[in-house]
Amino acid sequence: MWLPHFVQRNALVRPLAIALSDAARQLTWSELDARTDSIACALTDLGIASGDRVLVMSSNRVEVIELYIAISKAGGIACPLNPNSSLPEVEHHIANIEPIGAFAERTVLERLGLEDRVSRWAIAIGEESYEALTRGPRQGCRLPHQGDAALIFSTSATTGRSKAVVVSHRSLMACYVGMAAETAMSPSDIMLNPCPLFHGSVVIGLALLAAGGQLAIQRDFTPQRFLTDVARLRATRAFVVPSMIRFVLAAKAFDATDLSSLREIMHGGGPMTEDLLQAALQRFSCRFLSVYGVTEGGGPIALRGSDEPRPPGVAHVSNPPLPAGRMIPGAQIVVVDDEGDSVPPGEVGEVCVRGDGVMERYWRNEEATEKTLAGGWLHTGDIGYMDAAGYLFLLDRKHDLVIRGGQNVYPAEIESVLRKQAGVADAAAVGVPSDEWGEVPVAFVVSADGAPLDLLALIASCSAELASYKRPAALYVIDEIPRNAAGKILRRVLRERLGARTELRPSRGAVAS
Amino acid sequence: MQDILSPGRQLLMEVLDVPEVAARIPADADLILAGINSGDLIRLGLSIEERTHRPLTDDDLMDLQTVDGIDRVLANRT
Repeated sequence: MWLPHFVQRNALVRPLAIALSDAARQLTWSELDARTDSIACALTDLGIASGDRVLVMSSNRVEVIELYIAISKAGGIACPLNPNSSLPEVEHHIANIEPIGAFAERTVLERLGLEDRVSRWAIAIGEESYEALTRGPRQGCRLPHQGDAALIFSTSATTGRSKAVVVSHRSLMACYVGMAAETAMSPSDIMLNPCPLFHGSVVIGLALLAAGGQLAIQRDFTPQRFLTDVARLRATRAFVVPSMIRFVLAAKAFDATDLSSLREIMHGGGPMTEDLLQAALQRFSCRFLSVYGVTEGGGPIALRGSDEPRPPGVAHVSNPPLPAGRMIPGAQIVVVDDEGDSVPPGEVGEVCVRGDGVMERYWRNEEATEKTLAGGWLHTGDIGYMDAAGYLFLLDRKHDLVIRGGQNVYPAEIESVLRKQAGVADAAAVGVPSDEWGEVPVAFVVSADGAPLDLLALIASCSAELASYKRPAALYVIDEIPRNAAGKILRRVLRERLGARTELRPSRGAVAS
Repeated sequence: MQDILSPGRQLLMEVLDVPEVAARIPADADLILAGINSGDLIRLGLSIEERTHRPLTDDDLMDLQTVDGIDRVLANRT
């Protein structure tokens, strides 16, 4: 009941305060409550039943959050998906979750032919047909239970096909409890959000809303608009990925912009480097808060403020990264060995978490669910250690995940696209460090018969079948993909090969052979 | 379509991870729909600011959606 509950409560407590805003409109709590009631009733008239899935594919705008709430009020489950997803990605997701309907902007509806791909209806956000839903009657809406699914997020997967993470109302409330306790979110807050609302990190924005604050949504991120909106809105908070901070610091308007309203910038989705944090602290006059989270964990599980003393790490791990933080209230974190046993402070193992925030399951994927939730703990796949004071340090990943600017990319997704192209005998992808994005994926291909490969055509095939952030930043032709005796790709060898041949680094001149 | 080596196209090629992709994009095509990552467009904007020593305006940002638009923004700053 969490999503409908906090909207109704805030509509009673602060009806005229702004809840949501974007460049085109703003909604008070009273308006948000009324509009979501009406949409929920309309959805009921359209035949939505408890537990039905509804696809939401849109760029950032007020209506996206409005739909998450309205679909919950109708007893359904909102299923956000990147509007820039390729057709094969969308087909796979739809086949898995079987939505009864879809909401998307007109360009997305038409590009993907969504009207023909969902079972009953597709409605264009921003058009009169959508607005008509918001003006109907308000009575007769359902109130979901805390254990009911509220959202199903799509995540990348080691298999190359996305998995669907089921997040309950209880999980969303757990996120609020943890974040509100540690960050003092309040109704006086205005939080600027340039991060995609289809991403699991949207739970932070929902927590801010639950606290009665205003979520100011940016359609997309540009450093220039970020600065303009902080000053225009007198934003008190922002949630960004570290690469966004780097870009904002590089913008020409930075020094001339009044940023004095900012009290805290939360950052997550990838590691923050010491150099970038220090540069940011020198030029912003606010606190920075590191947010470590995973979609399957219901969002944030550990936090660390820039005003906390930096723990030294442990002696036997050289060059420790900045700590990811300490567990938030409600998220119990342990580090376990290969047998699943908890290890003492300072010893390296897999990071696991338990709490109300943890996902219910993967949608229609029992095998992956059992593996990920083995023993009642969510196995994050992140490798690290916890010091005696409870600070978590992340060192590596158990799986072959690339995090590009906060977005997860599994090499298998790229490899499966490349391997089916004509003339390609084998392919492998790895993540390599990037100053701007943290990491970027690069790919290696092997020609089937030694004949030259059309690398631009291969890049084009990736563009056609993968969301743009998954496209390899570079493509290299090699004679053979290194594998071990079991056939597993030796990605470390590929990374070493790149490191040894600096002229092949993917920053520029990326198509090479 | 404008000349393949227009200033806007040249600049776009400089900021892309895969510069050759820019050569194939029609001058009036939406860059995102043509497969350009939004992150590449951020780099493009910062690169224009760096070259022209002026912040981009909202109108400029709205125009940075096609190769033609990049050319217009550059032309307005010279």
